[in-house]
Amino acid sequence: MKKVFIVFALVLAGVFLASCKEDTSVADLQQAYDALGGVINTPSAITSNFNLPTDLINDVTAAWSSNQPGVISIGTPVDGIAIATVNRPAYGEDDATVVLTAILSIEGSDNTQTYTITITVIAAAAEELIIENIADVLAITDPAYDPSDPEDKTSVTLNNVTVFAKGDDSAFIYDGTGILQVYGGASTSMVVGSVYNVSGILEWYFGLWEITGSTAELQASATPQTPTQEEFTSVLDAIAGFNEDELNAPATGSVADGNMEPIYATVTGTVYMIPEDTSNYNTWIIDTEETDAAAAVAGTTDTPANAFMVYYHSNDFVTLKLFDGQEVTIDVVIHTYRSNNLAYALYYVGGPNGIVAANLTDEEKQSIDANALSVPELLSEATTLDLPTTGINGSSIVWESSNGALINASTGVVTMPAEGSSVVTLTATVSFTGLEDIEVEFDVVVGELEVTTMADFLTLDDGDVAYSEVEVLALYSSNRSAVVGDATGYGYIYNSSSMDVEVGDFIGLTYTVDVYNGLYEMTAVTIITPSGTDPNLTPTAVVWTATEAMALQSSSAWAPAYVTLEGLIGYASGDYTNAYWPDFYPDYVQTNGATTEVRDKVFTATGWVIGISSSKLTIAGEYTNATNLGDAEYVFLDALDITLSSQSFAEAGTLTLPTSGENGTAITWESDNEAIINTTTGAVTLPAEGSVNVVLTATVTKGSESYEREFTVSVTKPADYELSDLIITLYMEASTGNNKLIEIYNGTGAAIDLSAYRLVQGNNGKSFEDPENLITEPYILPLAGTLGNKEYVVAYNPETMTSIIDAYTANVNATILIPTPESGNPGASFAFFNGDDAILLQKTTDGGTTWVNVDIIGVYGVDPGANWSGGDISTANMVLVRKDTVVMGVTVNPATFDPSVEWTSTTVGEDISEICSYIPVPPAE
Amino acid sequence: MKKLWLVLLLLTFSIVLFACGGNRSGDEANRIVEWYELSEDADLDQNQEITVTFWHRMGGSSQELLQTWIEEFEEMYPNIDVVEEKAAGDYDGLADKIALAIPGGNAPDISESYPDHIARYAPSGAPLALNYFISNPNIGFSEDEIADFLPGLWAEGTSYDNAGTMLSLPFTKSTEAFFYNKTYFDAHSLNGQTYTEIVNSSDFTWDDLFAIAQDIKDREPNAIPFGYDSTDNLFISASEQWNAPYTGYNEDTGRGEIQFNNDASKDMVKYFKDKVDRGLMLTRSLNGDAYTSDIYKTGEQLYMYVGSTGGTRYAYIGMQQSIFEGDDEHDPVRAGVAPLPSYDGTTRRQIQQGPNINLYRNDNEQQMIAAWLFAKYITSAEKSLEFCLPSGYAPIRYSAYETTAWENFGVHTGTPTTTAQAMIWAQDDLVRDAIEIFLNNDDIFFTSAVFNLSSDTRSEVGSLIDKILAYDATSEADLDAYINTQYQESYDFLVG
Repeated sequence: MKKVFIVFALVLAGVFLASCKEDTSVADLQQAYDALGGVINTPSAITSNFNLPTDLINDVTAAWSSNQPGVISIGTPVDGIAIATVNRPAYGEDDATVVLTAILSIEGSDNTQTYTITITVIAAAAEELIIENIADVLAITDPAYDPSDPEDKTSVTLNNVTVFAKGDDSAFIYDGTGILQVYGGASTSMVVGSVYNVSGILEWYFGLWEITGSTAELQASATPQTPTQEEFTSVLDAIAGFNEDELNAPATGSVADGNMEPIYATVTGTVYMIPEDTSNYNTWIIDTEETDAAAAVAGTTDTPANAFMVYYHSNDFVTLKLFDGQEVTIDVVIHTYRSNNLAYALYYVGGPNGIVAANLTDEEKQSIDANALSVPELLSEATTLDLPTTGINGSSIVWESSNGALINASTGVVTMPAEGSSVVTLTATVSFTGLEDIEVEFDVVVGELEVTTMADFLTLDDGDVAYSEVEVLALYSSNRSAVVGDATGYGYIYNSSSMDVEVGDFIGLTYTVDVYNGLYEMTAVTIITPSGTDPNLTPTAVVWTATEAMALQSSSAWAPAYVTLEGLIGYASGDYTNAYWPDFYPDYVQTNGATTEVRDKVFTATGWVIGISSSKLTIAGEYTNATNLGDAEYVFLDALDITLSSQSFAEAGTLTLPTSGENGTAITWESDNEAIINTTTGAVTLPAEGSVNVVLTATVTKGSESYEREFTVSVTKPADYELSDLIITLYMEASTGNNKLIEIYNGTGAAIDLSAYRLVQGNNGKSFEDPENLITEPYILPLAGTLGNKEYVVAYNPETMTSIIDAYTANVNATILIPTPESGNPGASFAFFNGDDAILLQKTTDGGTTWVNVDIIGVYGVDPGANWSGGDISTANMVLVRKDTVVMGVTVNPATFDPSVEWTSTTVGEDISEICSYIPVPPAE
Repeated sequence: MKKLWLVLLLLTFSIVLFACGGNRSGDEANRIVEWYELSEDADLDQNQEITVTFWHRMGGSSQELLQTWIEEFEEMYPNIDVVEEKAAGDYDGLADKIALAIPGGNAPDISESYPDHIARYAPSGAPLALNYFISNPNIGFSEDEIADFLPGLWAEGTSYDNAGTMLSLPFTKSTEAFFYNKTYFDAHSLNGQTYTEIVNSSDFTWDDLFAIAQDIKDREPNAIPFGYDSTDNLFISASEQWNAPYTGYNEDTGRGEIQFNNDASKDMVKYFKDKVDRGLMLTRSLNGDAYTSDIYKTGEQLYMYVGSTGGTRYAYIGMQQSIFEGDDEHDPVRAGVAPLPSYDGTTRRQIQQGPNINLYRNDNEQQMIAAWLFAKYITSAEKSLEFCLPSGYAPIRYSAYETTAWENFGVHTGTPTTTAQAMIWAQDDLVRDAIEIFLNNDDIFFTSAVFNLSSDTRSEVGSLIDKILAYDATSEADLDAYINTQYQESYDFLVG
């Protein structure tokens, strides 16, 4: 048996080896073959070179070949990788189909495996470009030249290009073949009229090609070239032409949609600044004939604005704005269509004196020339000012100096004083023939300013320029704000940028005074080395009560104070922690930098008061002594929690007055007018007339502590609204029996003689005008009696349920009840309407010769079939109640009638819940 | 004796089958790759020096964080050396490099991957099936741990076949979100609801969104109120919502295929084209490739946009201080975030993005175990949170949301002392809100079919919708013709 197993084992081994040896190399080849499947991800769309593996797993090697080496050639393998170089068919040719074959083999084995893959090489999407000049750039429509990855952007060099115009962020270049914008980079240092070799990166932006990241090499000996200027005397015609040429299309498309070549032009139009728009995009050039400027500057995605937007990076943008409302002719470069502004945009490139305003009056010319002048406010070193003697509109300008030694008005030379500083007044006299001169004064501080102490700081005027030497005591807002001080007091810096200072630094600073809510601030500061001595201040906190805080709220000149505020109660205000200060309430304390730890605690703040407003005081400092709340705080907080359901009543009601607070406090109430608001019951009673303000005082008590809080509640009796005439206020056409009636209200403010009125039923479309279908006497119910103001008259069917009539009888305002008479009498049939009969209330002013409509239900002269209906309301089988908002009857017979417009329906049936309930609501003013 | 020979014969047969790679499991035929048979008693051999390579495309702070994790991991497992390599700058480059490395036998042990990348590698058998690693009692996941992964993210790892093969673990996931100027939205109402209330309702629709946009446009004619940054995602998410086939699996072959060339898809694109034409919507492409959130940050003109939650902080980054702080005329701008609107108020679907982690099969079991342990480590709740909080990516595990780090995230004490700090806090708040969208809406996320062309299809439909949205049609017929042509060309480009 043992031998059997040995033999079996040998046989088994043999079978194992024999079965696997041959298969091993095949399997290895197959495994390597399978592993190739992912190498080429998208064989149907090859556009660039790719790698192929040659040394594979299981010691398999792959020998690659291409059946079209002209399209894909296989390089010599290096480190197990062969590069497949792709030579795409040229633009316009068909895509190429290439079969790549790899022979897979294992050294020492005769077995091979052939791997093939069919590849489609996509023809070039654009002709290969050689960029030698601007025209070459403008011709690019291949999106490949605008890759999203900056590393893939195209570098270009354009030789001998002339800068012919500039903005403050760009230069426009021309080389005889086209115009291009150079953005940023070297553009800022390039000079108009000079020639350069420009290198940079191609960037497609808002539908135009521009060069960014540029360098520029001056070509001093080259001859400048300037493009021909187009002339647009009509903005509308110019834009219409642009639209026709679809110059706006690229900005909303891609490189493939082409691009807009900047246009050098003169444009005649009217400067229009959008009222109250302070953004950068508020200045436009509209057509001189434009009558609706606001509409002109509002483009849509379909239609560009009918105006040019002046790009704010134009040089002399401020000067151009002075011509707001004026027709001007200016040199521009219309550089792009801005899809975010929905408008063609332009740079004004004409320079400070290049704005030609043909229609300026002499007064306007002189005024603009005067307003265009500017002089620095502070001159702290010797220099020469440019003091123009001719205005941009031809005004003659003469300068005078109050101190010619410091500023020479003729030469502009500025000389520093021997010591300190002086204020020199420069006066420009702007003269225009035939007009009175305009004098413009500029106060200029020359030299080192005298030191303004913090005590004197508060005596300066808003806008003054001054100099102080101070110690930095606290810093806020990323060093943009600071509390500073000297021996005389404290001051506050509010600067637009971060200052390179630290607490404790002693600094000198020039600044402009700005007063904000009474706080004197030093703005636009320049920090210099002080000449004085560091005061080494140690501020001592002063304990403030709410009285001091409230005094500050009304102060017109104050500086930061170093204070201690006790008894603050912290609370969460969003992410922030602020504090109540009971005696300061309803105002609160903004505790800058307070942590959540002082929330729901009573604590002490010690720091700088740096802000005040009508609702708060702002302190920045340290917050200490946080302790749990006690009775004094609980009574305050519970008083704060009291809310009244309403503090304004126009009808009688009940006010709920809480008697206890959340923190175990008791609340008692007093009213200064118990007749109007009873604090025991909460009942609110309307005054006889007019409006009464009732002061309710809640006293919140806990232990020995209490806090009072007052509420003013307005209680108003609405004024009567007087109607112009009678109005039908209820229509009953019940679903059962003859419960039918018409209720009419007199809200005219005076009694009315009803004998001048009648009710008419236009039975089944009957009218007075149709002889074939005439309204007859039984359907005309004369009214009678005198109806007082705010009283109702009810005309009813005598078969109406007694309970309904009793309800009217019981109502003091229903003073006249008229049952329709017995058969044979006028009006006997009136109250037998059934939903398809118009109802008219008419009156006469001539004794019954003529009648006019006072109110109509339905459409007179029309039979609607079963009823008039709308919005679930019908004139049949319902009770209709006139809406309070309807304050006048329908006097003109309508073409259609939807009862839901002016009526509500109480219910189907004989509902009497709303009889005599009409209270007219005055129409909105 | 006869029985003995019969037994021996069967034994021989089965041994031969095993030796030559025969099947052992009935459903193996449906598996996209062969599952590696990790025995139940397998464990890390702590006496063996093991090197694990991890290929990724992370840079900057992400790579630094990864290096920190490796240091921590190597302290726990001193015999494992993890070598991380930024193998490419982007995911496509990474996939190309791995696809080339696989036939050469040079694949890494772990890599970042998108599902279509793994589908690309799968024919080679290189992706490691994780099933027996997950179920291993020594080194695997417990049931609780598996349940701790957000289900939608976990399921993505099994999306390659119908045999349950698990090829990846979720790593850094994100989605898109609807960001809006909350200050502005709180201040304006439509039909009795503030804009904020409308966009945060569970039945918020595209029609609602564009009703708001029109309301804004009526008030501010120069506004283009809504922006959508990724038109790739717009096409895919909207296709899902419109029930317009995009890509899917062929019912007969089971293979992924391109399906977007259909009328429902064209209707969907026309819907958005109409909004663009009305000046209600802008895309990144229409904005000169600048993010629409750049306009949003000016506090004017564009008041809402859809962007990746991975870039949540960019709702503030770059915002001018004066916009953030407000001034006399403008309140401080604060951002809000909500899920995307839906087509009909009920079919809330939006794309799930972000890479996974996958492992590669090799002949060294200990190397695979070490790689698995590292993969487990970097997908732990704690590590997931560490990666996500600085960005807005979503933690992939529920327990990450129970950590102290998460509970404390966005909880700030006191008052910001600087504007910069205030802005960071505001960003934190928004990140938290964005992440909670991911946490609370697991059922609305989807991933599209995974196959070798899925990545290219995604790029192509983005270009397709860009072209259509930018097209200046002369008539509806002209637009229809253009759309038909472009759809066909895009389809042909992909299918060949």
